[in-house]
Amino acid sequence: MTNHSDDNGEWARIEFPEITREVTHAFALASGDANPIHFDDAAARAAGFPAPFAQGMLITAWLGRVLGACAKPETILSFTTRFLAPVPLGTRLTGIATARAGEPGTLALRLSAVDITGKSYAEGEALISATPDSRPENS
Amino acid sequence: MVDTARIGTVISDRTIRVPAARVAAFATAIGDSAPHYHSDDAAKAAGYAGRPLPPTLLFTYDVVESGIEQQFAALGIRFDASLHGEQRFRYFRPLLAEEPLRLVRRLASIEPKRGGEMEIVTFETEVLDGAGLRCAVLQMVMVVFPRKAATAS
Repeated sequence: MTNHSDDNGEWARIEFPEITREVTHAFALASGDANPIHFDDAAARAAGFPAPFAQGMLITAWLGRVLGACAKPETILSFTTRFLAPVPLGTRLTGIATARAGEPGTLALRLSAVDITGKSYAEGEALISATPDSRPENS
Repeated sequence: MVDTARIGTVISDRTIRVPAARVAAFATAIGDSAPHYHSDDAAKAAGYAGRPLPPTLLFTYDVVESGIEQQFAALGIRFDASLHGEQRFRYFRPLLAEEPLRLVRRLASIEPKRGGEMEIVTFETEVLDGAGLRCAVLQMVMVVFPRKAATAS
C-alpha cells in the first residue's frame, strides 16, 4: 500500500486480493448478507446471473478502506459509491484515491475500483475536511 | 410500480449497538489492519472514546439486519429483481462501537425511468445518537424493474 501524494494527485493505492468464493463468503459472514448469489453458482443462475459476483458492499467497503488510508474517521464528511458493473469472481481490483481541492476547507477524493485492464467497476467520491492533521499516520 | 403514496413513510426504526468485536471482524474481512479497529487501547490512544466504525459498516445493519427483503416485499418490490445502484454516506461525527445508534429508515423518493421500465427508488436512513442528535445519514439507491416483478409474482 502506498499513502502519499504524487504529481497526479494520487493519495492512496491498494491492491486487493483476487475475488474468490472464499472472499465473498467471508464478507457474507462479516456483513450478515447471506445472499448465496455471491458465492453459489446455482443460486446465481436462478437469479438470472451467469455466475456469482462480488457484493457491491464489499467493493464499497474496500473503497472505504482506501478512504481510511487517506483520512481519519473524524474528517470524513461524505462518501458515495456508484456501482458500474457486477464484479465477477476471479477479478483482481485495485483501489485508487486521487485528490483535488473541494470547497474551502475541504478536499474531494475520487475513489476508483479498477481491474488489471483498467476497467472501472465502481466509482466513489468522498469529501473530507482539510485540516493539517486530517491524514492518518503512514503505516 | 412502487406506490408513491408511501414516500416519506418510516419503514424501519430501531436502535442498535455495534459490538467492538464486530468492528474487528468487519475490518478483518476487508483486510483492514488499522489498529483503532482491532484494539480498544489503540482507539483510545488515537483519541476516540471507543473503536470508530469503518465508514461502510453501518450499511450492514441498515440493510441486512433490518429485514430488507420483507420491507421491499411490503412495497411491492422483488429484492432479487432490483440492483443496488449507488450508496451514499454522510457523517456528522465519527460513529463508535458500543454506543446506541437509532436507525430511522424512510422511503425517500421514486423516480420512473425509460417509460416505467425501471424505477430509481431511494431509501434514506437517519442515524441518531443517544442524545437524539443526527450523526450520519445513509442513502441507498436501488434500480427496480417493476415489470419483472409483476411477471414473476
